[in-house]
Amino acid sequence: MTVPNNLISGLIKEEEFAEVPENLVLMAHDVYKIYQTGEIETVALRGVSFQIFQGEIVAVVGPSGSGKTTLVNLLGGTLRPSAGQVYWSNIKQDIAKLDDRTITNARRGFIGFVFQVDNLLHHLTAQQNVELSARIAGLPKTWREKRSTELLEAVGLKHRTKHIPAKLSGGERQRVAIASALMNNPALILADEPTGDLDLINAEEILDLFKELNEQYGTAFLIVTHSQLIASKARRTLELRDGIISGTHDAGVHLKQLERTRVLEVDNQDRLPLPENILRELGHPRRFQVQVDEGRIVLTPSIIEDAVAVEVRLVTCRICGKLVASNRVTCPNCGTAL
Amino acid sequence: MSSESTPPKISPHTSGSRWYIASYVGNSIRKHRTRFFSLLIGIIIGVSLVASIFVWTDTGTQVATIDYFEANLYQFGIQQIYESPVESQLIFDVQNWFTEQSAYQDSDVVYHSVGLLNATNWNSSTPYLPHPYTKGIKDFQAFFVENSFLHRVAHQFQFTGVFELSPGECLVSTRVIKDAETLLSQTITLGSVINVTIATIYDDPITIGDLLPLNITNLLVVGTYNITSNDSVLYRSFRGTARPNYPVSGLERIFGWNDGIIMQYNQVNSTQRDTLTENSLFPKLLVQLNPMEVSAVGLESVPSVIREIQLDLEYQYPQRLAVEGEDQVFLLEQYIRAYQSRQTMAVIALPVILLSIFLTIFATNIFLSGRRSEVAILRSRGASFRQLYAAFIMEFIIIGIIALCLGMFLSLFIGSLIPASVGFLQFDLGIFIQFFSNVRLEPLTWAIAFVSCLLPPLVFTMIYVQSFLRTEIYQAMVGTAPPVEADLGVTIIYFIGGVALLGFLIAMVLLLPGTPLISIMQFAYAIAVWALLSDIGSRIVRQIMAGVTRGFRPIFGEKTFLFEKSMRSRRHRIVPLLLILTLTFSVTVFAVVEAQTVQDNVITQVGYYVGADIRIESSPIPHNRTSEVLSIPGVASVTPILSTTATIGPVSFTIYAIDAEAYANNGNWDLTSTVGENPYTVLHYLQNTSNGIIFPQTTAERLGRGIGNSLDITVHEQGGGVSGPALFRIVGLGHSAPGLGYFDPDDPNRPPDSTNGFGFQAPQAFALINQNFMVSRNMNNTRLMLASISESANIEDVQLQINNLGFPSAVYSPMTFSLEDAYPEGYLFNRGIVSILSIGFLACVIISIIALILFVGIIVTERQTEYAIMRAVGSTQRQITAIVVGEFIGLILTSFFVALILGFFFSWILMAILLNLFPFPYIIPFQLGIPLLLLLLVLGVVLIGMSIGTYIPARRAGRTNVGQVLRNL
Ligand SMILES: Nc1ncnc2c1ncn2[C@@H]1O[C@H](COP(=O)(O)OP(=O)(O)O)[C@@H](O)[C@H]1O
Ligand SMILES: [Mg+2]
Repeated sequence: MTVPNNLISGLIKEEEFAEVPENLVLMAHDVYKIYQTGEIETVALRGVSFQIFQGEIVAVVGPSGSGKTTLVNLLGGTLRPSAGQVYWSNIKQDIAKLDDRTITNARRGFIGFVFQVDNLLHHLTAQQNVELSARIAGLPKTWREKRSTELLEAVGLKHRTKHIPAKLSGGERQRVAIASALMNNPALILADEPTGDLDLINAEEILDLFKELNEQYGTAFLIVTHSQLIASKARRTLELRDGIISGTHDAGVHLKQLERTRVLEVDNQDRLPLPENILRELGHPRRFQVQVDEGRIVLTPSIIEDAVAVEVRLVTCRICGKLVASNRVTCPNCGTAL
Repeated sequence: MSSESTPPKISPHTSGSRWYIASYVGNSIRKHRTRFFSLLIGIIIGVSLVASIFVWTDTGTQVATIDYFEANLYQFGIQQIYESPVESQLIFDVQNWFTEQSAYQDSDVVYHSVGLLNATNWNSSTPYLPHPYTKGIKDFQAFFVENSFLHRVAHQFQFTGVFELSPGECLVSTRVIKDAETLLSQTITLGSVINVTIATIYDDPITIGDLLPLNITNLLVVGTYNITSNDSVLYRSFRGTARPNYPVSGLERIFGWNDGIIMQYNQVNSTQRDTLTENSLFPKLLVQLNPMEVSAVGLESVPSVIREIQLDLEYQYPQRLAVEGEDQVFLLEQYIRAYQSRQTMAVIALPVILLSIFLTIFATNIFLSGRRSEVAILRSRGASFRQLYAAFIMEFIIIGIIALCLGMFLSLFIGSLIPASVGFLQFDLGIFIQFFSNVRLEPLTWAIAFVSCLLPPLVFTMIYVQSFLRTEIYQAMVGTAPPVEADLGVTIIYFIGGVALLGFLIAMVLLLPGTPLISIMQFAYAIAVWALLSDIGSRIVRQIMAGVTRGFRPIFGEKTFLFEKSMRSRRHRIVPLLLILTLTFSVTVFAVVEAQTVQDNVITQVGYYVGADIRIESSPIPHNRTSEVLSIPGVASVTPILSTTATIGPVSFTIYAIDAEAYANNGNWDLTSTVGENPYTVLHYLQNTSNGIIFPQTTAERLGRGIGNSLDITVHEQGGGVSGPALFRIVGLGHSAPGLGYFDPDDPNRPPDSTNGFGFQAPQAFALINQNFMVSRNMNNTRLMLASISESANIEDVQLQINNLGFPSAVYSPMTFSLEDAYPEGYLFNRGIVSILSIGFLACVIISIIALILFVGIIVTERQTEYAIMRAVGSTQRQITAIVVGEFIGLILTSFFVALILGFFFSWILMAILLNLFPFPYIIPFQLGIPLLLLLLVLGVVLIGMSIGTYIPARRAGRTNVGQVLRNL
């Protein structure tokens, strides 16, 4: 599968949407998300751009709080970006500015969710939960029943179809959620840590199911995960840190040794995030000298700390909003890494 | 995975399934059963309360109308005016005129005259009048009727034998039989044969001979009778007259159906009849109107329709007819007016209605808020705003329709229960059945119930659902952060605002005139302030309790810490709960206090107007006949009130001469009776000043006189002649006196609506002087006596014995006084208020217990994680249950005390407003009736009910399934 270079790097302007390739499913463009909780603003995503193509399995990894869940919701249209665009190929539009009704209508057959939080209705049985999205869409009953039975069988819950969620184990609930996401055979499955509760064998089965769908229908997957197993099956892995894509990996990523496969991408604001582990190794230098050397960019930590260089500025903590000296590593008030 | 189940392509532009809405609604109602039922019950209570007031008044109007037609077979009794030249044909012209009226149904003609029993015993020169009974002359009213008439009216008579006649037969009233026995020693029974004489002239018969007798001999007595109803048109058309039958006796009622003999129409032949008609045998036309026709325009206008027919008739035959029937129509009108003054009744139920509206809104809130995440999930699965919005509205409509129908159904019972109330929480089954079998539910009732009880929660649902369909799916799914605490400044401003509004209320009640419209608006405003203060109170209670528990932390440890935290984090739940509790308790206090106040005040006001334990009215008799009254066991003392007229220049007034000491002791005095000093002191001054006078304050002002000034008064003879001038000294000024009413009937303080003080108000301004003054001038007659009875006496017994003395024309006692007879409108109003209050109180208790279970339930559900953690770190089930019960009982008790203050205050202020709406002649200031015992009992029951109410959810809290809850973390 060949992907145009300019698309991978996300260097695409809104007016160029018309020219998007046939096989693009979804695209995020310079997406920002700022949460407002009372007086406190949290910047969860700060300019994220990437694309998903038909049949692609994309993994998203990153530490807790890095914005993965936020990203999944923005892509699925269950949360609105504060800035930027989210392009859906089924309606060939940016959904960021569309009204809820249009988004809902468009989402029905296009995206299936597996949320991190429990997204089953407590008063419906496993089978009813799986059927739910098809009922809402108004698909015929006989088909619904057949399909949901098959899906429940596929996730290994053939004997649990009549159980309500409270009677299922965490792993079983998760599998019902996965079956539900697949119900309408969407073009894209957005899964937020789907294997969080699953044991290894289960995960393997689920992955096989994903793979099968992927091959059969060209379903694309974006899976937030901490699991090496899933990441290893992904064609691409996005690394998220502090609300930006801090690196990408091709197939064969190793979550324990990300630096081995990490590729840094200059985003469309010409920003290049430096890998945390390297900075740590160097003792968190705040200043670098930049030189271009035979086509390479060389960053040298600036060791001469002149008076100007060590001048302490005050910055605002992004979590608690307190003013903090810029040379501190963590916020003394709330402990957030600065 | 097989490829067979490839889904049909779902277009990104179509809306989802319509059917899904219906299935979702059905499902969600089934799954949220508790909340569904709470909402349902909340609305049902509101609907049934509002509707029952209208059901009651509509039914009442109908029952009053039915009663009227049942009691009055005839609407009119028509006879030629006595003074006009006799026209034998006139009554038949009138009958013809009626047959042309659309409302006419039927009519009967009854001939009547004066008759004498065994008149042949006397020679024709025997003087007939006065005092015929002394001479053993028994006169009666003779009736000549058709059998069709007898058949029609038979059910209004009590009779033995038969109630129909052939020529030569007669029916004799029991009174005639009794008098025949005592006056003539003649025993009349069924089968007896009697001789009667029919008077043939009307004008002033002096001797028996003047009656020019027409003798009817050998009449066979086939029946004896008595008319049962004594206020029907049939009865009052022949109500007879009053006359002293013996020289010593007062006036006695004679003639009429119960002092009469009924004979067959053909007993006198037509020639006799025609000659007699010119002189003494008068035809009376009894007219029946068609109830259907009369009520065609609406039940409310029945009185005016009947009255209009009468006006037409009188216009057609001006000055020639005496028409009986107006009084009954007036009575009916009074009832209907009382029922139609229902806005005022509705106003009284307002606190309870408000409470149920609060409950429905809170219940809706709880019903919906718990489903925020459920909705988010549905939306993430593709359910659209429209689908969900439609589902919620449909769900509400289903609940609304069920609640409306059930509420209406319930209101049929409650509406019939209101008139059956005979006291706070006491009911009369007979009246209930009478109303229930005639129950009426008008379209207007539906409309009002819908607007007041369904619209608020519906609007709330629409706004609320919109709000959470507008929040982003992800945000809705993870839940929103708890709202930020309002800072103290805001609460203080709120508090100050509340106090200002309260001040405004008090000023308004004290300063504005009490017209009905202003009063209703004041009432509504007061209720709003009440609700607002309850809200402020709840917020303060919450803050104080959170603060107080913090103070207790060193003593009680971490339990109070948890409580404090929960008070803060569940503010959006705790405050409404406190609000409902505060309102409930205060409405309960209001209901109990107000019901008691109304009942107490009827008794006090009536007592004041009646004047003393016993009031005896008679035709003028010598005042020393008080001794006869005093001889009756149980009578403690009795004092006559002598009266005559007097003038000061052009001002004329009545003088009541009293024994000041006895009047002070016997009369039901009030501190406001006199001006300045208390009435007992003033009467004491009168006692010690032989020419003293207690003068109406208003008249004194007009004359420019005051206490200590002297007055030149011309006192008239009791008969009317001038007795001569006298110099009086004003010893005191008065507003009102027990038994006599306002000193000055034009007193500006008199409530505009007062109705002659139940008939006891003195007809013109009066002054009080010493009895000796009149006795010394030989004015010895009295028409009024006031008596007090000893504590052990049976009031009804004493009353009966006084009545049997013969001379009293009426004997009253506040204890046996029938407000219903004297003043139906006021009576209905009072009853209505008391029963609305008691039913409102019951509703209030139900509401509060539902609210409690609901709120505690939802709080417990929302705090499951907390309880699970507590369990996980070692608390037992019992401990958790105890903590939860303790928490809520703390809340209940605290709001209880806030509510007591609010309840008493608003009982007072609302009573002050309500007084202006009472169609009730209150003369002395109302007193707040505080039935402490009942109040304690009622509140105790409510408190216990509530404590039990908290136990159910609390036990659930204790049983929190640790594993299941914590697994979800
Ligand atoms: N609903 C919310 N309101 C406020 N801040 C939020 C909300 N959801 C997430 N955040 C903040 O946004 C950042 C990213 O969160 P999230 O997307 O959940 O991260 P991840 O899924 O990678 O753990 C975090 O700092 C989190 O505290
Ligand atoms: Mg997450």
